[in-house]
Amino acid sequence: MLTLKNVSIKRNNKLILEKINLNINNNSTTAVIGPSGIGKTTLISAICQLIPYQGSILWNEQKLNLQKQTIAWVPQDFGLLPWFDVHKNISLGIKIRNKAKLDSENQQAIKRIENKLQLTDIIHKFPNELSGGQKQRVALAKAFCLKPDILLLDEPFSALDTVVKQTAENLLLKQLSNSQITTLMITHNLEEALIFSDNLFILAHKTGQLRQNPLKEIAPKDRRENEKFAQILTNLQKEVIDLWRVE
Amino acid sequence: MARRIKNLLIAIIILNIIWYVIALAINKDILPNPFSVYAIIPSLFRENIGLDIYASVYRVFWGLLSATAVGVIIGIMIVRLPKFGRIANPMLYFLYPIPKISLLPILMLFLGLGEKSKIGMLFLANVFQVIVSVRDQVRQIPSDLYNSLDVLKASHWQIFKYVTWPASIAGTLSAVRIELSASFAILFMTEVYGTQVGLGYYIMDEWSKMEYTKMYAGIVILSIVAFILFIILEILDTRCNRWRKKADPLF
Repeated sequence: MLTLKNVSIKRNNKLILEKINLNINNNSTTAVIGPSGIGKTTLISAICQLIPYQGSILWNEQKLNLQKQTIAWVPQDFGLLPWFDVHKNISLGIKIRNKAKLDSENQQAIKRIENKLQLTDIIHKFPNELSGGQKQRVALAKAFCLKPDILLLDEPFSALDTVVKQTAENLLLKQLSNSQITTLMITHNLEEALIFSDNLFILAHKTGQLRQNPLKEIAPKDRRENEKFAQILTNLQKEVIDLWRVE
Repeated sequence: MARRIKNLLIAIIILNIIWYVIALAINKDILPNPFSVYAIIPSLFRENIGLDIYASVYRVFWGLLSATAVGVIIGIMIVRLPKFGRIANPMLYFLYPIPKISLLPILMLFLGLGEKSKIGMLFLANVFQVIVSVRDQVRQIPSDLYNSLDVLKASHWQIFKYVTWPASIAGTLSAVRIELSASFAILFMTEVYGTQVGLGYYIMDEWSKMEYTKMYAGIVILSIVAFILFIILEILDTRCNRWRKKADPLF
């Protein structure tokens, strides 16, 4: 379980987030919802230990230790190294974690994931030769290859157009359902949050409120088609708009 | 490729026509026509102009290589070691605009008139450009790229190998390409003293003997050598920086 206890973050002497408390159960997905600039990415940066914070971030009751726990982070712009081709980008994470060359088992795992995410035709291309959708699939392949304990997705669909987004959503859903990963997904899109998450963490007033996703019991792939979906989305929209307006 | 060769040939033909017309119009020994210059080139190789070519290429090679090695290290250090950068940057801005050729007398005093001052001059002429170019290239690396490796607890060496170094290669090659023509200008200046070998020396020697056809042949050979080096750098740039969006070819 990933636990955030009284986490406060200051940047340039300005308090961005105050006393955040959040529990994310193993193998579940929590969506962090909030408008732009509220501190969603800052929260992820703190979990990644990239910025200082007050309070504690725990993994199964122990202090989160990136030497022991593997975090796969998919940033908004996908974080691909432009000078490496697709295959090298995907395998880089494992090379870094293993501090060694890839063994045959790792190579097979990479091939499997490249097949699953339909990347076999583009493995020798460089990131600047890829479309937004392809870049996103590469970033996801890179993340899933690591078999991470925690997957952090920062606005995973924001750079994609509507048509590509639908395919990307389906691929991610399939991938998440086949893996046992604790996932934190940052989004400002409530529809995405309702489809992907078990719980919603609504950021407002520098802190957050944890809610169970009302659609939790329905399989993610069927949620959008569910009769309650539109109503739940509308209610959630009203609720968060009220919260953010006061902000 | 075929199109590029065709464009190159057209450019060479046009240059030669212009040269030929001007030579006809002037009709003096100080500007022989291109055919008489090209005709003399094979005989120059029998007279050992190969040794002059070797000496010039040797100086340019070591000048550029030492400037690149030092420039890359300092360029990276300025960005990755902020304390060093805060001191080195103002120094760089102070030294960068100085016309490097004006430092030649100082180099001659300290390094003598031999090879050291010639290579030293080429080093000075290039090193600042490489530092600035590598510094700017490394500075442009988005912090997310470093962050994505930090999250995986990459070592300093891995961060250098996978992020900083590939980015700096791009800066290095573009700097060296930009500076290549300046390097040959500097080379020419350094070969007029303390040596009896090198294309600069050869050209000035033939000039002093009023052997204008040979002088022009030396200039043509110098241009061809510079052109070949430029093409080699372009090939290196294309191979090492395949990831960048393809730039328009030079011709």
